[in-house]
Amino acid sequence: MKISLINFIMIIGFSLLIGSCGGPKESKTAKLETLTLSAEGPFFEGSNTLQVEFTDALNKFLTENEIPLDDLKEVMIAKCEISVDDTSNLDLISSVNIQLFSDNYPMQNVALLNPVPAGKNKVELQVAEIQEDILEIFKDGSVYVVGDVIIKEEYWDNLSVNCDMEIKVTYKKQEDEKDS
Amino acid sequence: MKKIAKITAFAVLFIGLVSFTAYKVIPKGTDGDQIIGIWEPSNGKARVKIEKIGKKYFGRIVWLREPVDPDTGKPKVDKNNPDEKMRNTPLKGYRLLKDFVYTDKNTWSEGTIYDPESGTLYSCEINMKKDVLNIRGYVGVKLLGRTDTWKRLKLKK
Repeated sequence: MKISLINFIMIIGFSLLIGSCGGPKESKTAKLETLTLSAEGPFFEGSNTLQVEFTDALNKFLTENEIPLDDLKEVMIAKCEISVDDTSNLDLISSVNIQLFSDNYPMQNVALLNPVPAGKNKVELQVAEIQEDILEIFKDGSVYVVGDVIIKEEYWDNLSVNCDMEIKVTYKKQEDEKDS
Repeated sequence: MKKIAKITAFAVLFIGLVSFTAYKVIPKGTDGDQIIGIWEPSNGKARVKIEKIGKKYFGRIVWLREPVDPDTGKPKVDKNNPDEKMRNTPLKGYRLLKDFVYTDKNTWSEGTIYDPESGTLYSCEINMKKDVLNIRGYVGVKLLGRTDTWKRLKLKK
C-alpha cells in the first residue's frame, strides 16, 4: 500500500513536470537564403563532395517574427531544392545527398535525390523523415552544409550548385500585445 | 673563461625558451590530419576515404568490390536505413564514419560508424598505429564492442 502511494505521488509529480514544460506552441515556415555549395575541380567519376559553411541561419526569421531565441522548440527542414544556372552541370550529377552538422552536433542527413532526372536545372529533393538536432545545429554558430554527389563522368572545372531550403520552425506561442 | 661560460649559459637558455615557445605555439590539432587518406576494412569489401570538414573527420565509401545489388541489378543503396525516405541513398559515396574529433595520442573519438548491412549506428573510436587503423564500434560501453583493422591504401607511383 505504501509503495502504491509513493508510485501515485511520483506519477502526479512527473505529470505536473511534463505539463509545466509544455505550453502552447505554433509553427511557421521560412526560406533560408540561397546557399552555394561548391568544390574545386577536377572531379573524377563517382563520389564527390560539395560544401558551404554559413552562420546566423535563424537571425532573419527571429528578427522578422520578433521571437526570442530561447522560445524556439524545434526546427525541421521542410523543403530542399538544388539548382544550377547551366543545365548541363546538373546533368553531370546522378544523385545528391544533403547533410548538415556543426562543431558540437553530429551530421544529419536531411535530403536526398537518387536518381537526378535528366535535362533539369532545378530539382526538389526528398526530405528526411528522421531529423534530429537541427535546432541545436542552427543555434551552434557555424553550420556546415555538405552535398555528397555522384558524378557521371570526369569534369575538369570547378563545380557549384545552389541549394534552397525551407525550414519549419516551432516556437512558444507569443502572447498577444496588450492594447495600449 | 667566465665569458664563454656566460655565453653558453645564455645560448642554452635562449634555445630552451625558443623550443618551449614553439612547443606551445604548434596546435595539437594538426596531428589529426594524419588519418586523412584512403583505407580498406579487413573484409576488403570497400574502400573508405577519410577527410576533414570543419574541425571533424568523416569517412565515405569511394569503392565497392560488389557495387551492384544482385537482387535489383542496380547500384547498391542503403536499403536498411531506419529512415524509409533515405533508403535510396547510394552506398557508393555513403558516409560510414562521422563526426570524429582528434583527441590525443593517435586517437579520434566522439564519432559514429554505420553498418549498412544491418542499418545500425554504433559509437566509435579510432586508434592509429603507423598505417593501420583500429576501429572500435560499440553500443554504450566501449568494452562491449568489436574492433576492425583497416589498412591504408598507398597509391602506386
